[in-house]
Amino acid sequence: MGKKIGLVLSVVPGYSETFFRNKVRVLEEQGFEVILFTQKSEQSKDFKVISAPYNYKRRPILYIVNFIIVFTKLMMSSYSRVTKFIRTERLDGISWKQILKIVYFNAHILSNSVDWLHFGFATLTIGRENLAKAIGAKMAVSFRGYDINVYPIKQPNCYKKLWSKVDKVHSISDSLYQKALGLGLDKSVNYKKITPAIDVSYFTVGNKMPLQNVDIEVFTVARLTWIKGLDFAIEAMAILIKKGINIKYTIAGDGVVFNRLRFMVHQLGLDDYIEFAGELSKEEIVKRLKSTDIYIQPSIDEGFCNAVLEAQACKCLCIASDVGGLKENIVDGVTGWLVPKRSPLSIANKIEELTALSKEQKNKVVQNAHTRVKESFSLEFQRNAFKSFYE
Amino acid sequence: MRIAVYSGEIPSSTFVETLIIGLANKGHQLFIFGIKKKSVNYDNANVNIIATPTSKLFSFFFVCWHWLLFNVKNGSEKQLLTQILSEKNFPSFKYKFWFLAEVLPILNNKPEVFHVQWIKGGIVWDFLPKFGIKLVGSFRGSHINYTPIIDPEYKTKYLEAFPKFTAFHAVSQRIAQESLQYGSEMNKITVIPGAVNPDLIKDPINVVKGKKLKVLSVGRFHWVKGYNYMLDACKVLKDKGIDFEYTIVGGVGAEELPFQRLELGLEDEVKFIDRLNHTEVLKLYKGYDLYVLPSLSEGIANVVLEAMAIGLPVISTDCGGMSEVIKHKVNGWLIPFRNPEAIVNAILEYKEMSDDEILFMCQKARHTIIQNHLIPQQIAKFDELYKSMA
Repeated sequence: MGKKIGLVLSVVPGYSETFFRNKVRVLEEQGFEVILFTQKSEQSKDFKVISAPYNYKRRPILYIVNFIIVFTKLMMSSYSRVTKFIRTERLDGISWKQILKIVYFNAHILSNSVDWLHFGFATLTIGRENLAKAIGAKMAVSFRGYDINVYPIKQPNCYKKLWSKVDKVHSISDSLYQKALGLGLDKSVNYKKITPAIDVSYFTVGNKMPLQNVDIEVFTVARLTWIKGLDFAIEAMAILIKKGINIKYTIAGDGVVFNRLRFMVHQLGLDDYIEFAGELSKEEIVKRLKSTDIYIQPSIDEGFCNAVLEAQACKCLCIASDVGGLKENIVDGVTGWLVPKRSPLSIANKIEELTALSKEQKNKVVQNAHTRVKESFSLEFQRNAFKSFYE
Repeated sequence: MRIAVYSGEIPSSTFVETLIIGLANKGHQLFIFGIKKKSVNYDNANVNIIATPTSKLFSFFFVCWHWLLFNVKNGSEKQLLTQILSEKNFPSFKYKFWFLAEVLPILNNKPEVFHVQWIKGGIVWDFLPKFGIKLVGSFRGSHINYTPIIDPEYKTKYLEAFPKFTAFHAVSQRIAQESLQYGSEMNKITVIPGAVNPDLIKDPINVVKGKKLKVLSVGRFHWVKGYNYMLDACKVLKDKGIDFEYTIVGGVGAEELPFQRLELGLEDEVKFIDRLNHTEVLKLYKGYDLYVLPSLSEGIANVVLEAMAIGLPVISTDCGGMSEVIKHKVNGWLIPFRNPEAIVNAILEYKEMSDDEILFMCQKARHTIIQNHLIPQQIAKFDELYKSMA
């Protein structure tokens, strides 16, 4: 019988989240049994999902009643695991109240047996570091950009306990792993890098020669959050437009900084040059990537960034900040270009530089990019990497 | 006069509360409608609080009682109310119910003037003039400066609602101008700028430049405050070897600014202090040398008025009505927004000035406040505005 993997996530991955979907598929093909442990109760046709008990936030009576039911059931089915868990938590100095809360919200995990308990995000492990051991499983964790780049700024020692309990870590880029070492992860802990991957055939475009028209089409796909650095890209457009360069910049995505960016565009007088396309479907994004000249990713920090892979596959001339995983995503001067972060002027200058490239030069870069994505970031490549992770 | 000062919340922001107390002291009957967030005691018989209950049971009795009262007192207006209710086209009975819970006590108390403090939500009251209630709306900042730009639907809503208002109050000439494109009219607008408590100008101004330059900004963390540009400026100051400390008071948000501070290596120079109450903030000003307002948009920033009253030199971006308060290099600095370099240059200029020159500038600033921005004058202007409508 194959190994059993419990994958801990907050919700069931949506259709666009190729990473986890691909991972589960590969593992199942390999004969592993995969269970998704989610916080929100959800049904799924594609996965075996076990959800946490309901979170009765403002209904204390229901909470207590449900707690008693869940706790009694759990003690009957998994007495030794629960007591083992409580014992280790007590040794770590956790209060009884806190422990009971953790037991309740993790009853779905405590009552199941798996060989590996794999947390999909590092932040999901906080307060649950002893779970794997209690159910006799090994503990693995995946790092995403937010986990390592942002969260520890407000909670500096949030992973201290994790580092001492984890058996294997997975990172989507070397840069994140290096940062995790800086946050206290020990070098001796088993580590494997598995980068995101894309379905290259879906993003393949025939003959394309960017920057042939007077109007330059620039495109970015990103959640509208501060860390994506879109302010700097917008300012770069202002610089270029002032110089009389014809730019049409489209930003696809939605998020909390929309108001700020929208007002910025207005204040800089760019209403006619910059379009906020909102959240687009996968098909619409591919369509735009295939026709756009330049793709920019002006992030302040980044775990890896799938969108840049897709843009490279679609033969866009790609410009990204030289931060985090983007440095592994683009080979500077070969498959695209890296520019200093937080620097509108650098982005503007780079775009201007690109307009002066010859057909051969442009062709060479987009070919390089497409080939590199196909060879190193295809789903096939990722599958092979997943296979060996739990060995 | 019977005046309703409406913000939807009881108690409301500092300046709304000041207005309520000021008007009550002038002998007006004040009506405060809305939802009670905290217990509040005005200690003035002229202030009537009519809070809409939040619990389902109490609000049911509340609506029943006011419905009865409405039928007895204003039976003739019943048809009009029914018409308004059908025009509003509520998606469900629940919305209708909560609307009634708010509107019935207003109609039963019949204020002569109903003054909505926040125009974005305030436009739902545009039918009140039909009941003979004069409707005033305030233009204070964001709701005019960027809400309709970000959400064009508001432009349509404003264009429809503004002509129905009796009068408007704007905190600056600039915002009054800005509002014209949304259907307000200049002859309906009275400009009454922000104001501060006269107690702030009691103490003599002290200028003693210490070795370390201490810079302050006060205000909730919001992108419109432009703090990220100020941090960029701090980085330049540090690179220039200037000994300084910069403090933001008002809760800096969880991630963006702490991240930027770390990235720019400014942990020793930049301090974030969580929200303080107003009295604590006022005490804080005195420990600083310089106030910076890096905002991208404002109505008129009251924090700047306070700093000027107390005697802190101010560097402010030229946004909203700030140019109506600050004359560049006369009573402060007025610099372009989104421009860290301009902040740095102004700070360097400050550093070059002698104590006497700074004192002179601060005195000019205090003079500006004394002339145009003290609360008693402000209340008098509101009093005049309401009386002119009677």
